[in-house]
Amino acid sequence: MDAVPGMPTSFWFTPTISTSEMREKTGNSEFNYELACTEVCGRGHFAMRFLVMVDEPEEYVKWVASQKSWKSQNEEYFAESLKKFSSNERTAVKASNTIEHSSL
Amino acid sequence: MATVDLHVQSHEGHAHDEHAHHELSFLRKYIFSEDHKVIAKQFLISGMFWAILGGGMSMIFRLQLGFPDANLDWLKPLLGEWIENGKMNPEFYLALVTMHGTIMVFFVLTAGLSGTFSNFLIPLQVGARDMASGFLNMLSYWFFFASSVTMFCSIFIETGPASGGWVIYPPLSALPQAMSGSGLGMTMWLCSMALFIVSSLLGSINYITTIINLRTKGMSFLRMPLTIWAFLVTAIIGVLSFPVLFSAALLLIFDRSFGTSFYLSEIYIAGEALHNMGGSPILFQHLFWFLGHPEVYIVLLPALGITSEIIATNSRKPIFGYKAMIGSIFGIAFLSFIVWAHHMFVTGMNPFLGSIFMLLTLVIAVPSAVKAFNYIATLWRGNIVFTPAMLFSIGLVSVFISGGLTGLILGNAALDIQLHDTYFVVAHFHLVMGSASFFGMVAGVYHWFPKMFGRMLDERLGYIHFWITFFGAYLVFFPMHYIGIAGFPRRYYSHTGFDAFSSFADLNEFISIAAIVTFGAQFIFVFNFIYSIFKGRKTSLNPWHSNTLEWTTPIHPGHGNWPGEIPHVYRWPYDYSKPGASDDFIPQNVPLSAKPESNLPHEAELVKDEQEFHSLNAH
Repeated sequence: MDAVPGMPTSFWFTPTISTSEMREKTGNSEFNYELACTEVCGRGHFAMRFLVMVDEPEEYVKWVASQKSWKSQNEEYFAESLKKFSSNERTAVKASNTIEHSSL
Repeated sequence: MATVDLHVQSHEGHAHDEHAHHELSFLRKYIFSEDHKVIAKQFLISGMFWAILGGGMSMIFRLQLGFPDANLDWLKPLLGEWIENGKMNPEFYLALVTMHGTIMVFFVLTAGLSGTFSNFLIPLQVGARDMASGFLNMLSYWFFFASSVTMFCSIFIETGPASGGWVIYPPLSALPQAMSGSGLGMTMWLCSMALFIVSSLLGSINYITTIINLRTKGMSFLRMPLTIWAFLVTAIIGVLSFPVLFSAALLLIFDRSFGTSFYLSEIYIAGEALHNMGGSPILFQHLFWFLGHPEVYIVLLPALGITSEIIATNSRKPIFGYKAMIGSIFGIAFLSFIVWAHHMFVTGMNPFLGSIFMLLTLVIAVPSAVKAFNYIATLWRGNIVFTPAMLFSIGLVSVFISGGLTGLILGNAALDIQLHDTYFVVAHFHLVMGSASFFGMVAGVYHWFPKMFGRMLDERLGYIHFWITFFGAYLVFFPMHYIGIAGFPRRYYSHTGFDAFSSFADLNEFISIAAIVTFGAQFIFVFNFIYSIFKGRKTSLNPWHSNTLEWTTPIHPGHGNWPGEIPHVYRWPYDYSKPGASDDFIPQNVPLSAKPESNLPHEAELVKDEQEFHSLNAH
């Protein structure tokens, strides 16, 4: 499905073989489903590779539960940006919050 | 019958001239010529130049695909800075792919094919002194030349030529920041295409006018050779669709240079928001493919017309289903305008709309199958003469069928989700459009070379050229189907980054070797062509014992084509092996009354009309 600037596009499909089943089938313990960019998009077009994991629903829930939040993985970054943010930006945030509230 | 005797007119024109009948200067005779035969040769030689260049580019990117680990430093003298540390620059790879597509589709198979054979054959086969407007015809070539020069120069600029694929989809092509090729290279691409469209339209209008108005006496529409029908319909398609590409290019120029947002919506580049709002890149795709799909048939139909003529001549049989052939040309032409969105199944189009375009697309299989069937039925039990032109024509039928079958698969909106923009598509259109049209073009050159240059091409070299090219085309493009089904996308600089595709390294290497051999074999043809112009065997007046009018002209037809009166036409062009006739062919200019033994009952009736026609003309 093409990614079209200015227009959300969506695409559904139902995978029938999970990654782990496929690993058994192919006898390749490192097998992964790969997602490839198909519409020429510039210099790095050929390198736009993503891995897609097809999992059983229960396994997926387990996996989600075991994930750490981004914040806990990046404490340092978070603390630093909080410091920057707290001083001069706070007033601006407050202002935008009030605007949002009033518009609601 | 509307005929204009240009010969008479030109004499009247010369009456005002002090030096009547003076020889034209070299410049006017060979460079800025208004003679359709010279213009045809100009188109042919330009087309061959572009074919070598465009084909050569594909060799360079096949090297990259087939031998991803190879050191390409030896190409440095040719490609300079585009080779970095022995590796090809990925943007240059995209530039090569883009230029290869643009050159092959437009400069070789549109200008080189239609430009050559429409110009050469229309006046000769319908019985006209020249094109309706020799001047427009000359302009058509020189606009094409200007377009070629612009495109050629763009290859040598520092930022490289256009590199967004030959379909130049925005936003990639619209934003100079997106890649280096989207800068000056893209501007030059658009300028070149604008000039090309002007050239194509001037040519097409001329072809249509000539065919409708300048046919000789007796050349009714249903006595026209199928070549002429194909050229006529091709020109009509061109006139209707090329202006749409022009508008698409114009809007893209506006988006690129004047800050409009026809194709651009809200976009960020490197964290910077662009000013554009509300445009749609899908609009471009609609406009582009409204030309782009008919363009496929602009490329293919002339080749099919040439093939019809060559297969009938060399089977020594009338073409099977003459009217069905004309009908299928019109069917294909009509359908070509209402299937363009099958290139856009995965752009987020409504699946219901997709199913309509799928239906219309699959309907094209019907007229195409009629043509394929008729070719085979014409060959059936014919006294086939295997000239190189005939072999290439039969080769065309073969690649047309095998490439066309995959069209049924790709035309299916559901299957297209997997196959879209993969090598399956590349395989499909290189067979059905690329190879088929190329075969038709080469067949035409082999067949009409004697008429063009008064000499024959060497047959043995022709056979070698054919067999290498025929097997080569299959060896190159057939394996691509497998790579494509596995999902390998087009325009990929390298396949080694993916586990799924790296297992096809051997197959890619095989394709590259086959491609290089096939490309190399084309130089046999180039050699044959150049050698035979000067040293080829001299031809007889009608070397293929053909029926059409071009073979009634002198071996070296001068300006005006026929020295005396233009021959009249009394029969259709496919009276081959007519029962009762002494020869196995009766040219179109032989009256029915001259061959009474071969006339069918209804033709015997027509003899009376013919005699009446003669007595009327005598006064």
